[in-house]
Amino acid sequence: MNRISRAALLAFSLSVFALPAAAHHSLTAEFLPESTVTVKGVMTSIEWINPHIYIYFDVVDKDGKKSQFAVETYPPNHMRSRYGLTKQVLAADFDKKEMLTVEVNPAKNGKPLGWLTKLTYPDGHFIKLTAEPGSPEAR
Amino acid sequence: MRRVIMVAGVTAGVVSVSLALALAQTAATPKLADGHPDLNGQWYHRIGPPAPQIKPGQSYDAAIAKPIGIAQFNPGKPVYKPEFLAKVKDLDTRQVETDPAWYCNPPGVPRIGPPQKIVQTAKEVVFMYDDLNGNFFRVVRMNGTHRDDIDPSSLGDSIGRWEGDTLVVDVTNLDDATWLSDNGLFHSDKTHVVERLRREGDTLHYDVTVEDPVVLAEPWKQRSRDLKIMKDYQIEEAPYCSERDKEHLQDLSHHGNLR
Repeated sequence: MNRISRAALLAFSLSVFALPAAAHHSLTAEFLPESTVTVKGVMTSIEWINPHIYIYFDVVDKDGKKSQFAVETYPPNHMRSRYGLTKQVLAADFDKKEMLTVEVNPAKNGKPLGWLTKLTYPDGHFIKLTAEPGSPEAR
Repeated sequence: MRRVIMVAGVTAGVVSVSLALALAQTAATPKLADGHPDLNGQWYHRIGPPAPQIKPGQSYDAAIAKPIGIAQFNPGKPVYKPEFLAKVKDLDTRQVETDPAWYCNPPGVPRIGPPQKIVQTAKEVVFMYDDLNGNFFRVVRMNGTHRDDIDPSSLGDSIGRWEGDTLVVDVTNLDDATWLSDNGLFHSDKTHVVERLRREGDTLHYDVTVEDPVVLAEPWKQRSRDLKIMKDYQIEEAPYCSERDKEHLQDLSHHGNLR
């Protein structure tokens, strides 16, 4: 019986996963997936929107000048259904206004924008989202 | 000897999978008081059931967690009249610029795909969608006639009837602002869509036929889809859609936008 249930579950999983997903432009049309840029900044807002989530950071350069850096990532339903990540998880201790380490694939046009690969919080915990090879986002 | 055991094991596995499939096929189809199949429930999610939820403060590494992949459903391709092939090709080539659905516009019928949730009464059947481009619903009036007093829209006017155990939904009054599917498949405002929904146990068979006497050379029968009921999942509100990438795009490359 146990074996049958497991097989049924497997058959169910396979059929559910063979479902469509909306998608968008290529990562490579906007970003440089082979290079990584690291910035440090304070998270100021998260826009939990379609078709891509945006997270904004205040970064300070060597001369003390403050500017905004935008980080783009997956659509909300990918974040929750594929990764199990919610807005609350990404925000973490948002109210403390602490300095986060943000790793991105930089925008090709040189604007202060990147595709999120890893977010490291002051207590050391992190969210790593590197696009898995073969996924639509990796193309 | 080990090989023999392995073969026996594999055979047992195949038999149990087949048995499980057979059991799934023969599960009873629930009926409502009016005798029609019960289509109520959450049937479809573009991506699959949610992954285990991460808690705030917990680390997440995609390389270790191996998130579920995305297998897009390909409905196939319609046959266009020869004079429209160049237009389809042009729209397809420039999809990054031309696809209305990429800029948060409604995908419309039939591109929106199968209903994600169905609420069924004897007089009407409501299809609900949590789409990347917004929250959509359609009210299918049972045994009604098409209205002629409303403007065309992306979801059109839907009336339904039962043919045996199959719910047949007839859709007219569609505007021409949407595409039929990915890859430049535009259509006219004379598009006529027929959806067929048949429940068999915990499976919903969903079939779509599209007629467009203006641009298509023949009716387009999409590939069939089999949806499984999702008992422990509820449709969610789609976050607001606002496209902000166009100004940053450096080329026209893209991946699929199938639904």
